[in-house]
Amino acid sequence: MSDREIILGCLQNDRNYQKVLFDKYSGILMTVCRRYFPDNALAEDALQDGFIRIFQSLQQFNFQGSFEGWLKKVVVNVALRKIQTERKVRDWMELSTAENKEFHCTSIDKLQEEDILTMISFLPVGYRTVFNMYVMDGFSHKEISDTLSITESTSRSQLVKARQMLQKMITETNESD
Amino acid sequence: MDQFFKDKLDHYQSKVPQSAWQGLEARLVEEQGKSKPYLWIILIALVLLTLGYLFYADFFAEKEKEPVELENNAIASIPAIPKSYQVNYQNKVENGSESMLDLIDESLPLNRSGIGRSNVNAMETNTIHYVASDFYESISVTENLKSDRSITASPEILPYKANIDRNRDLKLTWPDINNHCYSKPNHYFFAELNAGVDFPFQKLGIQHFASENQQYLTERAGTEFGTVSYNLNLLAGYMHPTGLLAKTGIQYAQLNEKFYFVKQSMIKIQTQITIDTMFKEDGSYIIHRDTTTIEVMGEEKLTTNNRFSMVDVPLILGYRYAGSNFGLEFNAGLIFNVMNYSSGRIFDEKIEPTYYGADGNGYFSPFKTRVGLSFYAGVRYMTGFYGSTQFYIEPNLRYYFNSFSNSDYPLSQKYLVMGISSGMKYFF
Repeated sequence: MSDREIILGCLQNDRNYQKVLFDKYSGILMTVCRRYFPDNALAEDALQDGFIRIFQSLQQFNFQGSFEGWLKKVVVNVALRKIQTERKVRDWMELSTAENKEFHCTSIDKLQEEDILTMISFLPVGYRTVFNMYVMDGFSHKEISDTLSITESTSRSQLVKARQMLQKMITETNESD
Repeated sequence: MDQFFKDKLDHYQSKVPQSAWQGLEARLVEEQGKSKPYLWIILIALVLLTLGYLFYADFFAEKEKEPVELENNAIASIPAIPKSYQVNYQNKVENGSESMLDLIDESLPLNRSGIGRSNVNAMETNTIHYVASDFYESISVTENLKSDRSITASPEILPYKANIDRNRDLKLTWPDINNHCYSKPNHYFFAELNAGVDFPFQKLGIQHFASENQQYLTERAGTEFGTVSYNLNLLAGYMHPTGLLAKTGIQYAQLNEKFYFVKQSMIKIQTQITIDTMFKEDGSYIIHRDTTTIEVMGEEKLTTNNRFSMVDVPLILGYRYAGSNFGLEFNAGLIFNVMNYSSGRIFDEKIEPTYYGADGNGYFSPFKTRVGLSFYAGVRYMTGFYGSTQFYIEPNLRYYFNSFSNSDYPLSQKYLVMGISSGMKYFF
């Protein structure tokens, strides 16, 4: 079944088509949610919120460009709003030094998707949010600063620290091997 | 590393728990239940069905009644009615010089002093209506129709028109809708004063396609909610004997919305003044004041009542159906917006809460000062009220064809307004 057929079915509020859309894209969108929420229950909540928003605003999709990209954008926006609601974004300075977890991998080439998700989940919430937005979802620092109500320089420094922390995880595990 | 991470995760499908769809489905059902437009549509459909049933019941109830013949000079058995009741009847002319005329309209004021005999005095009339198809022509007549007669009538035949010919036989026939008890036949010019409550449903769309506008639309849609609105209008019009009518006038309408946004992790600076009083052994004391500022983190709730205040000129066409004890009026037309005055707060393109209109500082002006045409449709249920005045209620809807936003603004913003109005109509 083509995306167009699925979309038109969902626009009629047909539950069967909504299920088809969910089955087809929930895996990819769950990955998006897991990037932002290490806790599986929160990620699942975000996924449900994302699909609700998708079904509500599906008529806005103009069939131009990638449907998958549009879905991801909606879910990312929902995830960001949820993070703001959870009042975590502005607390990253405190949290950035609070977490101390262990991660083991052999080398970057051998990293599997689940390993990467685990590494991202180890980042403090502020690092993780900025890293996800900039690297994974293509936001600019200006957009990040506007969305999270922080300065652009803060966004840049958070990104640098996130990269350093990820690099350190990889290096330390390599050395230990 | 960035590209490696991105490539790895871009199309990676995580496992989704089985319960996720069940939870989502339950929430979808819940969301549909919350959907206010459907409630309004159901409510209005119920009102229309009720009115339709009244129309249907009334129409067939009249058809089923056989004409009742009354004996001349019979004793009246008319129940007491608090005010004098006027019956219009048609008197067939069969003799005299007015042979070209078929029918004469007369008015009979009935004396309702009590149950029992009712004296009916035919009044002198100065108008004869010559009926030819749908064409009415009035000429003068000098004939004096004054006479004394009595009628017998039961309550259910009162709305019926009495046909009395020269040999004083009285028959009851179908009522003429224009001679109905609550709408006098010659009162075709009218004025009406309406007031109504409305509920606006906002429809946002993308006016200029760009990826960032999608996010902007999503954010705006989540922070604005329609609230109870109202309208007030004064109309004047003319109703043709066939029931067709036209009316126009002036209307003030206000669409209300609420902007609600919770700004998380806001830092508020509070000043704390500490005053310590230290007593010495000799009884003297020292007062020590310490002023410190602390940062308190919390959330800020932003709530603003947004409004569009509009001056309009409605142009409405309608058709009135009159039943035996109620009337229905089907109205539809266009409303021309003369002036739109907007004020409030919404997200600007940077998704920052920003004031606009009279509440703003001038740089953010997303809305037009004239919003063009809107379509109006409504069904009115009327009942007699007092003399030439009618009282009514009218479920209605308005749809604005044009966007309220300026052409250079990223989003289009249209409205469907559903409401119910009530008022009084006066026939001159």
